[in-house]
Amino acid sequence: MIKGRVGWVFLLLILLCGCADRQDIDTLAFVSGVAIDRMPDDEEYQVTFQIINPAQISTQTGKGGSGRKSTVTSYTGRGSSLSEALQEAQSKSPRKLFFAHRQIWVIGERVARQGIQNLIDITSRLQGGRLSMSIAVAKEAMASDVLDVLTAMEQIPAFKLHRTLEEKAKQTGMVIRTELDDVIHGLVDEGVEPVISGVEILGQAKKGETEENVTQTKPTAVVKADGMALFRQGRLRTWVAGKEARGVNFIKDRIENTLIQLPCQKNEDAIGIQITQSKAKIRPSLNKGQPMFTIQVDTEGKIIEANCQVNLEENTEIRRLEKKTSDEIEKQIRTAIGSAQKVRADVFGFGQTLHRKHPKEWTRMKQRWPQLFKKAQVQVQVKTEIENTGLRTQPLLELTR
Amino acid sequence: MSYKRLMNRLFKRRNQAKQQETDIDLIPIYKRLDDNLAFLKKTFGNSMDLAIYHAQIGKPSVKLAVIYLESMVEDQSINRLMTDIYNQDNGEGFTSKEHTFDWLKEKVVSVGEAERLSNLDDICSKVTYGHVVVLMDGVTHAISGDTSAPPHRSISEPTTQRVTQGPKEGFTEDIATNLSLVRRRIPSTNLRFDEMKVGRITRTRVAVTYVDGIVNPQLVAGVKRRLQNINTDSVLDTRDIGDWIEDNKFSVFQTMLYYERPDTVAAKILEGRVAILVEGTPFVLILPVTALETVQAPEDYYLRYDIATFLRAIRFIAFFLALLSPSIYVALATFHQDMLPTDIALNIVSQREGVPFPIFVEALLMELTFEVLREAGVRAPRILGVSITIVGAVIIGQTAVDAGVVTPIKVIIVSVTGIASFVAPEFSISVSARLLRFAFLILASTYGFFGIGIAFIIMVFHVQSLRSFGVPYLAPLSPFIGSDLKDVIFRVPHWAMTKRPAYLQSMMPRRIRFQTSQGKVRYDD
Repeated sequence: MIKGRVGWVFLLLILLCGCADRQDIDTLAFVSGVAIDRMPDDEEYQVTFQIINPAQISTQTGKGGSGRKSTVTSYTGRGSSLSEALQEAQSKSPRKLFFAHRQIWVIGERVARQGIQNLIDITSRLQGGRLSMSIAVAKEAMASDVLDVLTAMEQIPAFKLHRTLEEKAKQTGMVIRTELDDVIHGLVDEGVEPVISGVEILGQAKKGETEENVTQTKPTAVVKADGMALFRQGRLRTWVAGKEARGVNFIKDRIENTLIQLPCQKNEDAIGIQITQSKAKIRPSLNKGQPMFTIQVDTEGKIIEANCQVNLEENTEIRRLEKKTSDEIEKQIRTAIGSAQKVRADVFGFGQTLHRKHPKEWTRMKQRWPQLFKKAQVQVQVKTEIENTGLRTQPLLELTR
Repeated sequence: MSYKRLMNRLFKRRNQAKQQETDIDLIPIYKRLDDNLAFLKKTFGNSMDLAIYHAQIGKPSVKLAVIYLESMVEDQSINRLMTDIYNQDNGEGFTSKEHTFDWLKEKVVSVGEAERLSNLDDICSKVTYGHVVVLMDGVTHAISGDTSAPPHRSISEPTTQRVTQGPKEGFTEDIATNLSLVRRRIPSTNLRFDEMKVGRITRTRVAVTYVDGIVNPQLVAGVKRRLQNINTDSVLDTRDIGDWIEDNKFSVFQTMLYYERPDTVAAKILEGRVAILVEGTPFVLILPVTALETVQAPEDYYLRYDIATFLRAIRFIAFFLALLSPSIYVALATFHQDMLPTDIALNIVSQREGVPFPIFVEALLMELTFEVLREAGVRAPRILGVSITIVGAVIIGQTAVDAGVVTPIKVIIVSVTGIASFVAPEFSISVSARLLRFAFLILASTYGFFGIGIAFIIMVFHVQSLRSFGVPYLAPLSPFIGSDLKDVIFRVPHWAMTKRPAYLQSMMPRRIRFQTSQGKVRYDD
């Protein structure tokens, strides 16, 4: 038993404090996604909150009445700031908007071009907000349209978007998975700029919001993750896609799996090499006061396709393919750097590495960094090792002849 | 005013009310037989089982009376004695009363445990224990013989502490049988049963059992002192004694354990503990005990050490599940929704559509319903047990969910809690968890995890403060005794249990004797 005074203190502790934060879980509206748009010639943000309708998600039968309802509901709020828009959207919702769960924030391209600095503070300040939530930029589309496309595979469109991004980044290395954390670092840290993945709609955007879209095998509207938006000073400067985007990922050391295609004899893209591992290192140096960077990339891969006559049993042939793969990767890296230098957006964090290695010189250079970055010399060294050739060695073509 | 003081005020401190009764003068046996018989009849209030047979013996004939309680004696020995006496009816040679008395004594000896009594109080007490008493006219002594044959059931498997492997004997209500069960396991001269009588009316026989040379004598002395201080008129079960001699009388944690198994009791007293056997109950009190002993099942010692250790871990987890799972659910669902995985959170929300109660009320209702069901299952006549189970399972498990009164997830939580509380090998620890989980539930619903944390801290403080006959309740974790961990969290192989628990301060700390010679350990075979 707790004795005397201590006991009273505990008793008071229990009786005097209320249950201030208490809210039953069923009084919350789980926000699965947020889309931030701005109409042309409009000063106000238009923010769409996608809210999960839990009764439709549940696997339970016989609950919530008859008829299929949409799995999500969108509430839109307008305001000159995000908090104002949030207030307005909240006033339409019967439950408290709750941001702590897995979600994605989609930024409309127009908003991105005008600047995203004002959007970041609230996202990280919001109670229950997660630094790990995904961020994407809607490419040539309204963010709310991208967010609301229904799909058959995932019940909640926002989750579908999130997973598509994640899987594409993981399997192809042609988009980058950006979390709020990365964006904040990109905006705040010296010597690095944010890069955010793009999402776009293929097909008719408006049809995508209807039930019809889910019932067809070939949906009218599909959301696709594609490309990367390069930012400088919080504004979208340019898009890179495909091989260029892959180059960005190589430099940022974010490749998990990707495909490199090599020409062989007269066939374009005859040999496919899957890169299964990649390690990148950026080494800054100063050459007569001018910044210079060496990018060293070590990759491992395997042959997954070979549609020409190569003798894969020969070690020299493998070495030759390794060399060609390295060259191809180097080419992709160089185009990526070229695109970034053109818009002076140091998304790779070259400045950051320089800052770490030569802090004194950095203080002198940081004001002019975008210009210096544009002119910076970059050396690329790629080393590739082909580990195996899959389940077979010789190309099938070789045998048929 | 603290709870303790309140309780003491409500129930007057027993020490003040203590009466000394030993000083009362004993009534000597009267010279005349009729006076004695009249006294006895009056004392027993003409109870229907009081039998008094008259006889005359010797020349000149002497009147004598045979007194016993029909309900308590064994017919055969009584018959033998009576036949002997009646056959000597007209016998020669009993010239003096002393001679007759000696002859009688000889006859009674053949019945068993003959004793010479000199006052009426002793006669009464002997008769009540089922002894036969022979009184002679003109002699101020009486002879008693043990003819007792109380009804008792045969030894059977214990119902509360079951094992799949290992001895299957259980104690019975008869203390003599129980003593032999223990003695058979420890056939040593050092095994001691010190008899004490507790209870003014029941005068229940209590055996303080220990192994001399292993146990700490101070412990035995302490136990005896506390037993002597018990001031009650009836002791019908071990719990009557346990409540009196327990250190912390107002704790939900019990600092002594009740065992129904002679093998466990033997093992415990061989560790240097004291067991208290009580007449009339198969439950034997063991002390001192520590908190972690409550997760030791008898079976741990009959299984291999690896599986035994694993099972212990399971029991630890089960204890905390029983204690915390309702409160963790409530805390997550009312405060920390962000900590749930998204899919589970959505699942809970969808289940709660249309449920009329707030989460806390729902949780409380369900937990109480479960307790009601469990109590019904225990109390109901065995024939009804099945139907109660069906009604409980169907109504709570299915219909209530279908009707939308409760959520399925809450039913799962209640079931987990219930099943986990059945895992505890020792009934007492599951009782603590059952009671405390309501406190945790209330705090969780007011403060979330913060409340659970506070409750947990208070609980640990409290458990830490407990003592069982001087042994810290959390030993060997706090105070930390490394060598004792071998039989707490782990169950090391028997050959590795070289020492008895250090917190018991045994007189013979080593269990296994071995010698070290040239750096080698040699076991002493």
